[in-house]
Amino acid sequence: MVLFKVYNTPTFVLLFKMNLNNVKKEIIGEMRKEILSLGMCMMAGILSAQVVGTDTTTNAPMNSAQNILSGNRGKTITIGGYGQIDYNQPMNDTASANGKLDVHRMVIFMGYKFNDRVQFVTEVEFEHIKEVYVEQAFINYKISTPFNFRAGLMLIPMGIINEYHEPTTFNGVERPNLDGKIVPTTWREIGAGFTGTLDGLSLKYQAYVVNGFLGYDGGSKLRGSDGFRKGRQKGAESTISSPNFSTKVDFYGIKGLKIGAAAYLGKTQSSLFNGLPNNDTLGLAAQADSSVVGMNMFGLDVRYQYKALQLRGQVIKTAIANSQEYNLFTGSDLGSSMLGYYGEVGYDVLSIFNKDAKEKVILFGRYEFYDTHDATEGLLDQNSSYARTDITVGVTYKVSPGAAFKADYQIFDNKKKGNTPSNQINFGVGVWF
Amino acid sequence: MKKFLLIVAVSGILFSFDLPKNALKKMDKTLASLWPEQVVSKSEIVLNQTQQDKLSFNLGSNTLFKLSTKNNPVAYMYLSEAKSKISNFDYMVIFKEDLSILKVKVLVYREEYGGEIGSNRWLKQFIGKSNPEKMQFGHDIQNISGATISARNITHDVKKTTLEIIELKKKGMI
Repeated sequence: MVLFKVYNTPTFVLLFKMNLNNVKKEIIGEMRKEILSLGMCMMAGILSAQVVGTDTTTNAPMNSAQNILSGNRGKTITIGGYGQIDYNQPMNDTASANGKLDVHRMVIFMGYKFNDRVQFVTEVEFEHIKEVYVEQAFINYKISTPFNFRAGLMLIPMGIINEYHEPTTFNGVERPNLDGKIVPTTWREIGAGFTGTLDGLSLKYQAYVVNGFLGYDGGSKLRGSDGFRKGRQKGAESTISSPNFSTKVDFYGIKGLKIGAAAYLGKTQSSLFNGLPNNDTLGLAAQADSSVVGMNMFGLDVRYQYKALQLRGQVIKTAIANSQEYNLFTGSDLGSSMLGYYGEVGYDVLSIFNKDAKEKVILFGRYEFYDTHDATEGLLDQNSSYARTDITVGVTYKVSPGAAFKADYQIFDNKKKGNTPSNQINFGVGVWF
Repeated sequence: MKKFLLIVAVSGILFSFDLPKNALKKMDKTLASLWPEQVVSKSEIVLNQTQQDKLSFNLGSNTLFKLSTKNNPVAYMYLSEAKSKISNFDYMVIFKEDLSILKVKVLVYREEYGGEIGSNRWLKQFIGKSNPEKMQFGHDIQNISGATISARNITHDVKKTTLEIIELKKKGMI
């Protein structure tokens, strides 16, 4: 029996899934050789030869490679991933436009279960083939079902896509632009906090103290067109001068419905606080204060599924304090408020003809509005081209729950006078395993 | 006194389950809520080799139990496990004597991803179902967004256990 395969194509050198926790005990024996070879391939390059275990028969210390060979790893490691390959073709009436073909994301997921309470989760991402990021890396310590302590590099729970961004979980080749320009997906920072589910109330909560955006690093990092996006620190030698608070509560007690409410409160970080003297006489503290903004972001999201019908929507509002001083100090054009919302309807048309179909053909449409200059302070005029509307219609053909072909057509418009909407056609492949 | 008897009846079998203590507590609490003020005894259904050979699946040990009150059989309890994103989780299905589902309860959920499926309100979808063909994920059983892996897997597994218990009944082994 072959439970996982290795594919070798020009695009994917290696795609595999190995979730040995879920492999039936009786087939573990026959799987052993494949597991060992795959485990060796994966782990040999990244694990050093430190002592990580003990041979249960001889009690002798074992290094990483020996531990893999012993088969102990098989019960505790999960490997998965997701990938997204896109083709974007702008459609322009007045000039020709080249298309773009991109392995947008390829993410390798690894989970390690130390025991029933302690798990480590990490995702390593290759963006556009050449950029490497760690998207998540945290320990989850389960004290009880409603009470887990989590620490490390974590996704900020805001809106739908930032946490659930695997390409087979959303319609459209590209993520909604609201979840890019206002919620800067994939938004992750280092922090710690608590999460859990309350079964009786059908509630899930998350509450974390996390590092914030870097707003100033010798120059402005925040701007009018996409707010905080360029200020993400992603856990890479990140600077902290003021911790932020992130929380979300999801209710899932009504069949098919999930409602989430999120808040993110805090200040951006600035390099100017580093080395600030306690008895400041040069006005450096005032400068440093001008290099940060306060931010309160609130989000409400809804997902509903009833048989073949899928509905989802979200509203995100961000209030930004001190933007006038920040813009004066840095010369940027950051707004004092950002607002965005979208609504999406999808329907699996294949189910009309075949209720028992394993595949899905979801036709969908999404209307999206996002304005990163919802309000401005001081002399800064609102830039009407930042008040944008996207209409997306398309199809998601799910050939398996974890594999989809996608196609859609997008119309991008904004409120600037005389603006001509631009159009784009997209095709894509999404996998999640 | 009844409470004492319940404890005795249950504790007699506690050590035969391969589940953590709090999961067993959850199990007992669930049984107590289904049959309040009654002593619920569990007896494992063990097949001999000849019976096992006649089945299309392997009925493991500590899997299927007959539940009785006052020596009258009232239901079957099927312990099973399914996959979540990183780990596996243990859950139980209580079948009435007519093999319709009386209760599905998650006993041990080992990770935070997909923990939403522990919701009693969501699990209510299974109650009353007896036809495995009417347990199709996404149609008969609605998904929970953000917990799709666990929701899909428990649905498939409940369907599997239902098929298995039906086979046992058809072959006269329960």
